[in-house]
Amino acid sequence: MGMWWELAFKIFNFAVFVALIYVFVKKPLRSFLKKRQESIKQALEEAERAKQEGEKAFHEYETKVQKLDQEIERIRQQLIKEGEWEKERIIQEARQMAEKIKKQAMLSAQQELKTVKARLQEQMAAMTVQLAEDLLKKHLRPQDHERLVDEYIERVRRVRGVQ
Amino acid sequence: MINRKIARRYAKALMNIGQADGNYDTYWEQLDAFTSLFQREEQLSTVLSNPTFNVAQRQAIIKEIGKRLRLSPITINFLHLLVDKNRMRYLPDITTLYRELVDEAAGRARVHVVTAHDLSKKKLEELTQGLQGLVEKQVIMEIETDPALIGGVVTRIGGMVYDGSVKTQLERLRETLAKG
Repeated sequence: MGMWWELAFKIFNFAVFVALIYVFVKKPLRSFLKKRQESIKQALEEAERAKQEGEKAFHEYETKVQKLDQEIERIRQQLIKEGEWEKERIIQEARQMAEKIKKQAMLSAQQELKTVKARLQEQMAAMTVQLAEDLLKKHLRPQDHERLVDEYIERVRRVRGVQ
Repeated sequence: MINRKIARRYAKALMNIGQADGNYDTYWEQLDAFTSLFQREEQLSTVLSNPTFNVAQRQAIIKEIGKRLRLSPITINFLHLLVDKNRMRYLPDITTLYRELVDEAAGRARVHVVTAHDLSKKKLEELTQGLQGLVEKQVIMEIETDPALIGGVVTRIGGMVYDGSVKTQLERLRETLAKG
């Protein structure tokens, strides 16, 4: 019998203990659980938001990467085009320079030719005159001298006539 | 230029006297004789042009030379004046300019003639007549021979040159040939 009372007492004690715990713990526990629930909910929402943002960012970067390929292709094409232009410009400049050098060389050659021609002509003239002088000195006779003086006198008379 | 200006003043002064008494030709001959001596005798020109020698002494030298050359008192006085004014160094210029004035007054022209060879008397006469006709004055021929002319004649009358030499003709020919 005593054993039953003891058991009942323990059960009663346990029931009181549970009732007391229930009374005292119910409110804070509920509040805690509510808070916890909200916090989890918030965390889930944030995770969802972060996931969405991540996906968005992923999409953006994916687009960007796609565009980057296009941009790289555009720049490559631009560089090729500029390279072509530059090549064309250098060739054009080289052609102009070559033309200029050619023209300059031609002018120099012409000038040189002119100078040489003039020098040759001068030398030829000097030699011809020297030859003529030598011949005259050798072959002029007294009567030729007289004739030269006569011609001079005639010229003097003509000058007088003009005056 | 300044020398010539000073020389011209003295030459004109003597010319005025010469024209007044009609003896400008005589003064020219005497001045020319004295100037030739002055230019020929270096010692004489040095003494007469040097102001460190006494004026009276220099004038005495002129007087002595004047006696021997039979210079007129006017010519001697003129030379004394040059010594007195320390203008003796201008004597050659004065003589040249005086000669020009005398030639002008006498209606003469002095012609410097250069020929390659000596001219015969006949040719010289013809040339003189031709030149007289050209300048319409009596000409005094100063003749020089220069074989470098090769042939022909060159005359200079005042500032004008009439070049009929073979040398010049050859030079012109050379220039023409060189031009092409």
